[in-house]
Amino acid sequence: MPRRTPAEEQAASSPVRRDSPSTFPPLSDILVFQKDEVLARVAKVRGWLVEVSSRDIELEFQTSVRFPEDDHLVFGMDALNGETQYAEINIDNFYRSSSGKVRVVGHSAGVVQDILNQPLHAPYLCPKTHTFRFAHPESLLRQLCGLGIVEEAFLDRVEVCPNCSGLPTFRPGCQHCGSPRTTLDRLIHHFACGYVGFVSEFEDAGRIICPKCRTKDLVVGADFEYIDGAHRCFDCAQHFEKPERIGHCLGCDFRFPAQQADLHDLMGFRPKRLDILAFSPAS
Amino acid sequence: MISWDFALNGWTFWLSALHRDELWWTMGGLLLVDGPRYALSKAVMFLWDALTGNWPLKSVQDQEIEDRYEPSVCVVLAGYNEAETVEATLTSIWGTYPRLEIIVIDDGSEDDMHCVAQNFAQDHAGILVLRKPQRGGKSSCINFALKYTEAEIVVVVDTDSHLAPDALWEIVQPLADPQVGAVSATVLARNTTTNLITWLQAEEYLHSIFVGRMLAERLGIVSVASGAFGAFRREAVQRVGGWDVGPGEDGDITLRLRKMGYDAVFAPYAECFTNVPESWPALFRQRRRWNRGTIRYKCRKHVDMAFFWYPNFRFSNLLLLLNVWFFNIVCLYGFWIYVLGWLIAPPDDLFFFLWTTYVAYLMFHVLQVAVALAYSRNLRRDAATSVVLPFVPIYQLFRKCARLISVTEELFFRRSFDDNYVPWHVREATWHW
Ligand SMILES: [Zn+2]
Ligand SMILES: [Zn+2]
Ligand SMILES: [Zn+2]
Repeated sequence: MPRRTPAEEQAASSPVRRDSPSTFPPLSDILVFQKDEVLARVAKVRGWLVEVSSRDIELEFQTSVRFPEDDHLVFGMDALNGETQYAEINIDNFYRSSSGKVRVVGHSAGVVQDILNQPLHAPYLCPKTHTFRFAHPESLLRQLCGLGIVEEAFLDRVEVCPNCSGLPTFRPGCQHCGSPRTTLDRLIHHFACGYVGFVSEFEDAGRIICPKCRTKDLVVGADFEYIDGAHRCFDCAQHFEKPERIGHCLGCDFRFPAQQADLHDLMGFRPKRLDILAFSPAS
Repeated sequence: MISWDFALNGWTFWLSALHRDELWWTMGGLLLVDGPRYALSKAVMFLWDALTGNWPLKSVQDQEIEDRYEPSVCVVLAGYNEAETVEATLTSIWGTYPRLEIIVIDDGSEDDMHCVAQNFAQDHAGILVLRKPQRGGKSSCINFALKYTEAEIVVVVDTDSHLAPDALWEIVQPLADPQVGAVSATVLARNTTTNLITWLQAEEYLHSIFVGRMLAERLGIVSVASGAFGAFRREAVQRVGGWDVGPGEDGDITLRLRKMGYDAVFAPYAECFTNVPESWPALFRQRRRWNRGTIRYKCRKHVDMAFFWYPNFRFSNLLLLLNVWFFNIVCLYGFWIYVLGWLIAPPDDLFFFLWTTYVAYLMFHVLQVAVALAYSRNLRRDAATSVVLPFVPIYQLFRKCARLISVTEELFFRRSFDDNYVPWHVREATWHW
C-alpha cells in the first residue's frame, strides 16, 4: 500500500459532504480573532479548506458574514484521533465566489499561531519576582484553554510562599522566629549530686568542676554524662526541641514554617496544532 | 445469734471486770500514742477551725479569677517508660492554667514515651519535650528541666498522675507569700475500687495526706511536697542547687528549702490522682522506699535541722524532726515491744485484748473519718472511700510491719542505696548518707 499524506488520509476517512467543494475535510470549528484580542466563535457557519500553498491558505464559508481584512481567523479541523486541531491565519483578502459563498485568503500568522507552534507552554521562574510566569499572557492561554485550542497539562507540584506565591528556599531554623542562627545546648549531668547544667558552667580553666557540689576533675562516664539539651535561637533566645523546616520566600522575603507553604500545581498548556502544510500539494 | 450474744456479753463482762490500771498497761501504750496522734489531734484542729470561723476552708472556687495569685508556672513531667500514661497526664494538665508551660523529660525510656509526648506537643502549644540519653533518675530530669524554664513556679507532676481541673490554681495560691518555698498537695488514689488493697490506700491517703498534712501545716511541720504533685518556687530551688539524688528527693528538697528559711505549706484542695500499688508486695516495696527515705533524710542527712546552735536553726524544723523521731521510731519500736510482750507472755484473755484494741482503733478511726468528711469538698467520693473502715486497723498493722522492717534496715544497713529507683551508676556515684 502506497504511503499517503495525512491530508489524503484525512480526506479518505472523512465522509464527503455533498455540498463540499473541497477534497479536504470540513472545518469543525471557526473562530474570529479580532484586533482587540478577543476570540469569538462564529456560530453555525460551515466552512472548508480550499487550497493550501506554501504562502497562502484559502478557506470557503457558506455564509454572508464579513471577515474584515487584517482580522485573524482561527479554525479547527478534526484529526484522525478525534481531536480537533487548530491553525490561525491573518486575513489578506476576502471576496464572494460565484456560488455566493465567501472566500478568505490569508497566511499563517498571529499570536494564536505563535502559541500553537510551540509543543508545550511551561511556566518559567521570573528572575525578578521568583514567581512562576508564562511567556504569553496567562489570561490568553486560559481563554484558549477554555475554547479547547490548548489543553492544560499537569507538570509538577511545588511549595510556594503563602504570601506571594513566590519560590521559597528551605532551611532548619528556630520554631519561634524562623532564624537559622540556632545551636544545640550541651549539658553535663553530675551523677553524685544530680546537678544538670550547661557545659560552660562546669568548665573552669581546663578542668571540669561541678558548680553545685564543687567536686573537681570529674571523669566522663564515671562521674558525669553529656546530655543534648534543646536547641537555642541566637536571635530570639527561645529554645525548642528540634529546628523546624523554615521557608524563606525569594520573592517577598517572608519567613514561614514549611508546613504553611502553599502547595501549587505547576500546569502547562499543550497546543492542539493543526499541521496545515500537510495539506499543501508540495508536501 | 446465741454465740454472738454470748461473746458480746462475755466481752462486756470482761471489760467491766478489768481494772483500770490493767487496761492502761495492756493497751494504754498503743491507745495513748496512736489515738491522740492520729485522731484527737485532727478533731482538735477541726474544733479550732470551727470555733475561729476558719471552717469551711477557702478554695480558689470561692475567689474571682482576677483576685487569684497568678504566677507563671512550669509543670515538669519526668518519667521512665511512661508511654501509656503520659498523654492522659498531659491532657489533664494542658489548658488548665493561663500562664503555663510544660516540660516533659523522657529519662532514657525504652518505649516511645518521647514520641507520644512529642505528638501531643505538636498539637498543643507551650510544651517542650526533651530526652536524656540514659536513665539518670527523677532528680536529674527535674534539674534538666530547670535549665529550660524562667517560670516563677516549678510544679512537679508524676507522669502517671492526673490533676484535678483547678489543681494548678490551688497549688500556686500559697506561693503569693514570698516566704513559702514549697507547696504540698493532696494526692488521692485514682484506682480506689480496683481491689481492697487500693481502697485501703485511698482511705489512708485521705487521712494521712488530706487531713494529715493540713494538721502538719498548722504545726508548721510540713516535710514533703510529694513527687506526685508538688509546687516549688524556682528561685528558691535554684538557690539550693536543685534536686539531690533520690529516692525520696521530694522530701529532701522540701527539707533543704526549710533549712534555707523557706516555709513548706499545704494546699488541701489541690488534688492529684495517682495509681496506687495493687498488690501487697508492690505496696510493701513502695512503703519500704518511703520509710527508708524518712530515716535517711530525717535521721541522717538533715539531722542538723535539730542543731539549735546553727545560725539557720528554726524551732519548727526541730519539731518536725522530733515528730518523726518520736512517732516513727520510738513509738514504732514501742509498739512492737508491746506485741513481743504479748507474744512471749500472752494474757489469759488475749482474744478480748485484741478485740478491745481493734474496737478502740476503730472508734478513733471513725473520728478521723468524721474530720476528713467535714473538710471534704467531694463528700460522696470521700464517704465511699471510707467504706473500708472495718479493715483499717488490720491494714494499719500491715503498715506497722512494713515500717518496722524498712526503718530497721535503713537505720542499721542504709539499704536505700540499693533501691533501683535510682540507676546503679548514679547510686554508686552519690554520697551514702
Ligand atoms: Zn555535683
Ligand atoms: Zn528564634
Ligand atoms: Zn513571598
